[in-house]
Amino acid sequence: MVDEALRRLVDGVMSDGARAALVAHAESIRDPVERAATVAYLVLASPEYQLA
Amino acid sequence: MLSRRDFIKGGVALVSIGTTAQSLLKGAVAFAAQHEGATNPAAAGRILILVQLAGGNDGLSTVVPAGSGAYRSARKTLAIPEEAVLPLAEGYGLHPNLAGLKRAWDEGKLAVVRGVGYPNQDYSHFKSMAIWQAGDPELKLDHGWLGRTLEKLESEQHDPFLGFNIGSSTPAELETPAVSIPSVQDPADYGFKVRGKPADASEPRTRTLLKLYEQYPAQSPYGVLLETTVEAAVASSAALAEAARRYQPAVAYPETSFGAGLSLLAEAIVGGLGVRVGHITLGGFDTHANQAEDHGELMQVLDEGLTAFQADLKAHGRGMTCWFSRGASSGGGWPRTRTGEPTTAPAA
Repeated sequence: MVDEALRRLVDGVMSDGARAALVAHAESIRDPVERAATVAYLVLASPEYQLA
Repeated sequence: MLSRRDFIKGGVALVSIGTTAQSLLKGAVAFAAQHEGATNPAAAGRILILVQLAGGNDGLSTVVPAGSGAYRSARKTLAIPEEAVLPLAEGYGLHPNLAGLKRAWDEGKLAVVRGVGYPNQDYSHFKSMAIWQAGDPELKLDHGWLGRTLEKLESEQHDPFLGFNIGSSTPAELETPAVSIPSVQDPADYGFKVRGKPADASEPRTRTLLKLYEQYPAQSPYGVLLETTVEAAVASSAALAEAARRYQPAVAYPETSFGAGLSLLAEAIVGGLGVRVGHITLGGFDTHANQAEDHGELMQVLDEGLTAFQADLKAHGRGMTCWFSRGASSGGGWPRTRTGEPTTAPAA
């Protein structure tokens, strides 16, 4: 899910460290809808998206 | 479950912070240090609060030259009767709806600065505003005049709220690239939220967001700025929330947006956020044909707000001296207020 969000929103561009943080946070959320929304929020709020 | 509305609101809050609370990291660190027991020296100092009467307040209907024949001749339908004004000095009085400020005058806490302007006045409203905002008749100086003031203060003191604007965008007179100035319209919207509720830096999603910014290459364009911005946004929104928790208004503010803004300013001052320059705008003064009715109502809003603000600060051990000063534009004018120890002889 994280990679798909990154591919769609920032052309897959994100550092390994940031991606790892994103994956760890996503895996901590059990509700799939909330997980998707949170991943989308974080990618949209990330510097990669904000500067794109 | 997170609703689409909450999701969008969370994102909007972030963008809002990103555009209003730029690199504040130094200040955020200083703020954190102060709240570990240190005393904030600025809290005991003087604070300038500028109230801008946007739209071009009619100065002659605010501080009225009621004894002047020229005034009556020029204002045949709008002249305020001499018997209606609240007398200040020979031939002059305040608008009848400024009763609270008249009391401040009687207590020696209000001054009127007349004849403020610049040589060879330009009759363009826009150029005159630009001159006032820059504080430079030749428009050669960079940034706003309050922004330059804040640059100097920043070299002496770092606080996230050194300059604090009530509103949705930074006014030109406050602009400076060297100091970040939070612009807050509604404290409830100034901060990160999860499911519509404020989230602090310990909240998991916010922690992850901060990690994303930490991981962003510092050498990239805007890399450092972005990281410090988001960290500072978290810190300053937390500081404002903490100030709100500590602050209880001592008076009931009028139920106007101006009253709410002044209450927020008092909260920041009383909460010890290190405010040295506050800015608030009361708009609507471009009254045109509705001058007689609308101006009177605006004077009342101004008076009720400032009176409550003064009483609140006084109850919290802060004095306030208020100046009325006419602006550079031909029709403009605004009061300037400053909080601090009570004085009877305001400085220029």
